[in-house]
Amino acid sequence: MNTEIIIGIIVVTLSLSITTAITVWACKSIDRLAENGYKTARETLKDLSRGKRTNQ
Amino acid sequence: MMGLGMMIGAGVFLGMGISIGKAGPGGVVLTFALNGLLALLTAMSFAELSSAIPRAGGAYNFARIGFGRGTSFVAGWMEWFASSVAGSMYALTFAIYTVRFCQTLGWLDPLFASMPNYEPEQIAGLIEKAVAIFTALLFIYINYRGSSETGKIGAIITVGQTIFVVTIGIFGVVTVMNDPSRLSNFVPFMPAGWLQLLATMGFTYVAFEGYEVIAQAGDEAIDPRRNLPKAMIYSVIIVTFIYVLVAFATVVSVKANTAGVGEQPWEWIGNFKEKGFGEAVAKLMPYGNLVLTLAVIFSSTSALNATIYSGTRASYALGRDAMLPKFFSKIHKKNKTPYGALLSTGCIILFVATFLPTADVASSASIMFLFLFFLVNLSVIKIRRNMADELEYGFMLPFFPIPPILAIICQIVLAVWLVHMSWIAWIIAPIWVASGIAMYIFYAKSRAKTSDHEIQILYEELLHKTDKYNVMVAISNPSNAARMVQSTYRICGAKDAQVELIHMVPVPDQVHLDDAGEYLITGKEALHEAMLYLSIHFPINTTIRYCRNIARGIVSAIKEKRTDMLVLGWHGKRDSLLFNIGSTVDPIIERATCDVVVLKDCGGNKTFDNIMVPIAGGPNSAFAVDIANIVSENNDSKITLMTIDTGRGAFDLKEFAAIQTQILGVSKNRFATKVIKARTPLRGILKAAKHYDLVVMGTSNKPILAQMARMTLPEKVATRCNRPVIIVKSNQGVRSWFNRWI
Repeated sequence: MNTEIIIGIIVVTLSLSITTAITVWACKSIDRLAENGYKTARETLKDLSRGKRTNQ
Repeated sequence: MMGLGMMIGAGVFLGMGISIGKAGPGGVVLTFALNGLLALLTAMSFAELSSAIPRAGGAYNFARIGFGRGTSFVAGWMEWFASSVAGSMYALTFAIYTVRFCQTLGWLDPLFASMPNYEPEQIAGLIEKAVAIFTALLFIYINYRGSSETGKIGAIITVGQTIFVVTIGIFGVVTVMNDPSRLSNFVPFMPAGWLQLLATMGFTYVAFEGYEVIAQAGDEAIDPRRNLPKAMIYSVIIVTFIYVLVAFATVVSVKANTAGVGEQPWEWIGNFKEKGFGEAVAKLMPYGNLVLTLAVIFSSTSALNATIYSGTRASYALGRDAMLPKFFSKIHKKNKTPYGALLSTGCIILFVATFLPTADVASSASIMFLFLFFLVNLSVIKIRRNMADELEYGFMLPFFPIPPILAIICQIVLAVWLVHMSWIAWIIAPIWVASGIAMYIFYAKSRAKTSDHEIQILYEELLHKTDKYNVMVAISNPSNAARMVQSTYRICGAKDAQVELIHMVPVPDQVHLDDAGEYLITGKEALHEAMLYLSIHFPINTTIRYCRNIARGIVSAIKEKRTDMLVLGWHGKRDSLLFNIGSTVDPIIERATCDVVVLKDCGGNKTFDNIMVPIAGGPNSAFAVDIANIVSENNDSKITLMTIDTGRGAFDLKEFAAIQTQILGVSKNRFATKVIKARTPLRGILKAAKHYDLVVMGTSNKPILAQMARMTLPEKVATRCNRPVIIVKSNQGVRSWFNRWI
């Protein structure tokens, strides 16, 4: 198998994996925001920040 | 369903053959995989905007909310052209594959025989154009009559076309399992080099357009903040996997060295250009021609209908808002269809389908969608920055603003590289955009109607127009006016300023613009109170404006009046546990294009003989010293520049004080310096502040995301300190502009 094919397979796999990962994350994020009640961007970022500090 | 139905179509049927010829077997698979990722970035921008503004309905309104009328006109103008050209592409795709099907069945042989002076391909080409024009006219008429698919039929067609296309992909996989030697079709993997990917990605980008139509369904969707973003993102990922599978199947469809295949399989397919996909599928599976033709009929007609509708809707919206002539907003009395906009859209579709070669049509559609989505990615950044406190989001981009910036860069690169596929597209697209800009400047700008999103001037008294330093003082109510005038008087005196008194009237969404006048009385009283004190000494202009959001209204006024300094008051209480200095003041500090001075508890005839200025060397420190010097009672007042040593070394105050003394032209002993040891800066400042009349601090210059998530030191001091506090922010030109965007 030559180098180009290996690189090509890696790139295709990587891009499809990233696409899938982003989709899964996005849908979870959408559901979480819907369950917590829709808020403004500032409020949402503060909630996230507070959540991170609590976990630390 | 809506997104899938729009996306699976001509882009892949036309683009596959041309792309494999340009980029090779590996390149065509990579093209669709990478384009899917790029499309997802823009889909996420659409998703965020649709979740925040579910009723906005598309790029035109997103651009309007983000940038205003001018940019929204250009967005609508581009959307109109992009949809129309895409319609031409779908009509041509339908024609090409239908004529090809008839050719393979031998139905056109008698016609070829009757015209021996012409090549069969020439005759077929003319027939394709005729069929494309006829099909376009048919669907234009259907749209004129107002008949449309019902939701059920639309869903069936979408399922049908998806099944056909996925079947082709599955056949490819099964073929390879039965005959692994087909994998050798991938050698050479990238015969034309990796850079060719950029050209084929730009060319096939149109295959990923269609999800943006979902944004127009906000009014009809259940729980749109949740479902619109999900629909867009799901559409893109499903289509990406399908396209990659189909690209794989196309490459392995032809067995090397079989009868009729003289060269390498990818070259053989590529030689057929836009018909290459059809030739590949015919070799891949039994009844391949029939399966493909049915897939094309389903997808192209559905997409053609949808793009005629989209293009018409875009031009109708511009006509309805008086930015295009009245003709575009005319509605047929009986059919209730916008026949003016429909006729104009139809003209573009027919002209492009008739006179442009197919590959150039596809490239033109791609480049216009690249421009349009570029604008949407800009809009998502602008709207998040400007309206972070107003809109409620059902989805927010991660690592904002990196994804839209990445998308913008990729879209610029692909658009530029598209010149290698079609130089005609790069003539048509800029001409169309430039004509749109000219149309706006010379026609639409003076005629556009105001919308509820815009800020209205309710009352304006421009008594003075000078070139003096312009200080804008935001007055919220009569008592606030009285509290602010003392410090404002000193600042305006020091700057020899002209004063702009402004009162913003926030009118709720439920109240119509026309009723905002009821709020004039309070505003006039507030301004009158301030004028009593200030008008004796300074030239004063007054403005009362209606707005939906005070911060946005003030920032807009600052830009319009070219304000040099904004002075506003803050009551000192946090609006909620979540907000920093105040939900109105925060965005103003972030976005104002001038120096900002925020006064907390500085009224009531207080005298400031003993002022503390905490210094950490940040860019606002010098401005803080300047303001402290101005508001001090007199030249004998004590101003102490203070820095906190937390054990990591203190800032060099002496050198800083010497520089400020020179810059401000004050006496050498004007500023005292002091270093305080404390565990944290906040503790040190709060403890020291008890001994002073006033604390003056520069605001934080941290990136906006950090500021949105946590209170900064100046804000903590302002909230907890029981002394008067002044927080300042200086406008630093390019750096401030960059910070406002990022």
